[in-house]
Amino acid sequence: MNALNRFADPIFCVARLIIGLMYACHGGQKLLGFPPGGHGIPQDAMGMIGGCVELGGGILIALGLLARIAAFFAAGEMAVAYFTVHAKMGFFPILNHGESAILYCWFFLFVLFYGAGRWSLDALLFGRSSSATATA
Amino acid sequence: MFACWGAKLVLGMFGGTPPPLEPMLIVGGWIELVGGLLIAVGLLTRLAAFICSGTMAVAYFMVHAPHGFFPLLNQGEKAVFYCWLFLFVFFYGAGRWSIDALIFNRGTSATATGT
Repeated sequence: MNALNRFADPIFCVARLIIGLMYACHGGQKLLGFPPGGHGIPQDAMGMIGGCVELGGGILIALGLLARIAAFFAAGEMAVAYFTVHAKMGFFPILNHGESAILYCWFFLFVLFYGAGRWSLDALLFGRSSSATATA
Repeated sequence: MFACWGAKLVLGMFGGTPPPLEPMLIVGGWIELVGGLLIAVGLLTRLAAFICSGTMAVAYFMVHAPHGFFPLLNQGEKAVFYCWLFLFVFFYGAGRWSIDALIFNRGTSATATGT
């Protein structure tokens, strides 16, 4: 089973791309109205900041550009979102609609400590050994 | 959290409807419940993650994909997320703090062995 390890990093990079783009869609929905179906442009400052973090951070994470920094802010925003919005709606994440926030928060926390991986702009710009798997 | 979906489907916890009648949903519910617990404690993690990832891919394409292109709008965002996360777990291994690491040896995950 350990032979699978060599594919861990490429799979991580594809997952980072997909999840980063989905995250950017949340920001795009808030700020740009695209994809459609959001709640409209947020009226409060927290919502605007959140939208900017989601759109910018999501794109940076998807591309793997400054991924650790972007992931730090994105994970922080998701933690705030969970505790200020969802936590008061109930204990179980599956019922208080905060499940996505938890998933994003922990995934981005992992990106913060793991790095952008092999297939990323960070790896192109700063050298190949920027992720945890590559340096270990 | 993944196990909660299974518990909702199979056991009716967390405000779920009574146990579903279609065999697909029963199978899916058990995979979610058992697979989610195995992944959480890190026991036979790669095997469980492979099956769970497959379940979520099926769920996405059978249930959510017909409702539109964007995962945000077709309600399939979490299915995509779980699918990729478990696919990564399948290749990465359970990590250092897991029952797999206790039972087998310390160097089973990608970071520990280096590639």
